[in-house]
Amino acid sequence: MTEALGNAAVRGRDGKAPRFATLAARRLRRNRPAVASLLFLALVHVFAFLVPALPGFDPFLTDPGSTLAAPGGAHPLGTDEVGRDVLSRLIDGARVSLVVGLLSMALAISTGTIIGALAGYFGGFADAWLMRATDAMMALPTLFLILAIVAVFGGGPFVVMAAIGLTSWMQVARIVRGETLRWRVAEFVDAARALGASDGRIMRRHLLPQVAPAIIVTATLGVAYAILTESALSYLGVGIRPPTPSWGNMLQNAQQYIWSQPRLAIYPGVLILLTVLSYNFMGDGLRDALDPSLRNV
Amino acid sequence: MLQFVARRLIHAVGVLLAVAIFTFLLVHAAPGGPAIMTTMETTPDQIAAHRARLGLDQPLHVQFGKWMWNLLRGDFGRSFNDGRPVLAVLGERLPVTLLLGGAALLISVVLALPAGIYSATHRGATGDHVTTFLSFIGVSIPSFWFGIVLTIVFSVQLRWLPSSGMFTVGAADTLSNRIVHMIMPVLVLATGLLPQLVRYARSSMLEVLSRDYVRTARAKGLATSRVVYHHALRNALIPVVTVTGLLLPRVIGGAVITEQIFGWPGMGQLAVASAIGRDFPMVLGITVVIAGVVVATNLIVDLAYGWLDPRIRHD
Repeated sequence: MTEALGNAAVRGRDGKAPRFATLAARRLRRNRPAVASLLFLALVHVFAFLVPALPGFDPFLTDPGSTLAAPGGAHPLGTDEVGRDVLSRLIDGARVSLVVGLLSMALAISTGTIIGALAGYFGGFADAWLMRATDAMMALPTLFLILAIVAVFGGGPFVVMAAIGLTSWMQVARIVRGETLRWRVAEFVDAARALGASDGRIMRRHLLPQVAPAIIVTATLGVAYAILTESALSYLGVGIRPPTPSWGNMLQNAQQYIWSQPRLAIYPGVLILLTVLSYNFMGDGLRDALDPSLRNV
Repeated sequence: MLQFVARRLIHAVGVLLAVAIFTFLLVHAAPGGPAIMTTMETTPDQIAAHRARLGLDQPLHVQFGKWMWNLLRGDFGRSFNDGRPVLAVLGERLPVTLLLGGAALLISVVLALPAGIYSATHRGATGDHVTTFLSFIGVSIPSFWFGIVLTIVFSVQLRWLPSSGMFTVGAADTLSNRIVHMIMPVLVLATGLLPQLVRYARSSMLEVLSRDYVRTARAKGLATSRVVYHHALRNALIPVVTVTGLLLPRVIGGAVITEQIFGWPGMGQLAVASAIGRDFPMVLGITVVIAGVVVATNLIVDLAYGWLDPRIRHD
């Protein structure tokens, strides 16, 4: 390929060099699993957040006349043991699972970013102790910590969200610290400091944008982890409690009927698998798109 | 080497201390405070009397010192559930969990190493892509659902495998009976561990394969299999040892779910039952003991790593 052709391929129609985001989006579009995942996730989120707002949507409505009904008619996926519509419960469960997943990820990302940025930026004593705490947390079986927290404070969406978020920030902290260490010696940081910028401003305005791609990738993978953990807790009976539906507690419920109605156990599981898989594919695709140098690592 | 061991030892003690402090504070943050740790009485008068008897009116650091002293003497309190000493109950449950976890870890390593080596030596080939795709499925599949699906297929439909327990109640306690009961739990637990191990083995192997001494071995005209298995594999295995140790928290965490699906009477099942029943002494005892097991194992792995690879000792 000649020099001119190469430039034409890289430059946009207006002749300017394309922005980083444009390039990243272009790379992401070529990643077929990531595109498929994005479409699926869009669909799931639209359903989960819009359908429950429709009039007539009621995941708690029981139909005593048709319990454990087969799919078809008024109930496209059948009914559960007290005659509630399985499809409605799956959609409402999606909303609960996604909200808990997204919020616990947000908590984990904020905690991890703050700890990682402080450790990486100030170094020395702060770094040594913060990272020691991070390593210690990382070495612990988090599920047991979560169980202890849930035992003390009870279940419910809020406790579950906090417990997951506060036990999954370690990876983020390490990544942010590494990136901060790498960029804090850059010339633009020296320049900002020479201009009188405060430490806080340098971290927010100059370092954070550099670290953002890594955070975005970790956040995407973090949602997958959080959804999986929430559903596991709800399955165990210590997460989201019935009658509020969540994919996890629907599965716990369905396990009693696997001898007679195995299909009840299939739907929520397939949805968890596909959603988590999509978030993982998205995270992987974003990693390739945002930082091609990380490919195949 | 001595300095290396000392540093690791101090780190391990520090982690355990942190866990102890965390659990102590957790109980003090509980609604109703730590008085509910040792009594189920709930009227204000009873609680006040109980607080005084337990010394809960003393400063926090004094209480913490006492609590630590009890832990060190192995006194973890008694279960609310049946009044038995926590440590005695854990002594029964822990080996059962370790049997399940050990078997799953062993199977994972045995399967992951060949898969990782294959992927690394056939990079970009269909087999490599299939391995990567399966790894994605492995990390994304909810283990409890996978367990239920296996039960539907092998217990409900085919009637080949028992759906729960460690052995058939009432039947002769034979080795084959136990093994049959272990197949599905071990498979489910191993599925959660495999992807990470495969990924690690693959990238470790890829890194070693790009080293100069591997190129030299190839340049000498050695057969590919000899280069891979004789020169590269040994060095690629070293980091895999570490990651196997790091996987331990996941093994134990995974065991919680696996034990619940298959009614495996181990520590995980106990932890869930205790969390639901708010059996505080049990939950906290489990947390501390599990942390102890994990920290001890990490220490051993660290030391083994330092012994296997002298470069590590001098960082």
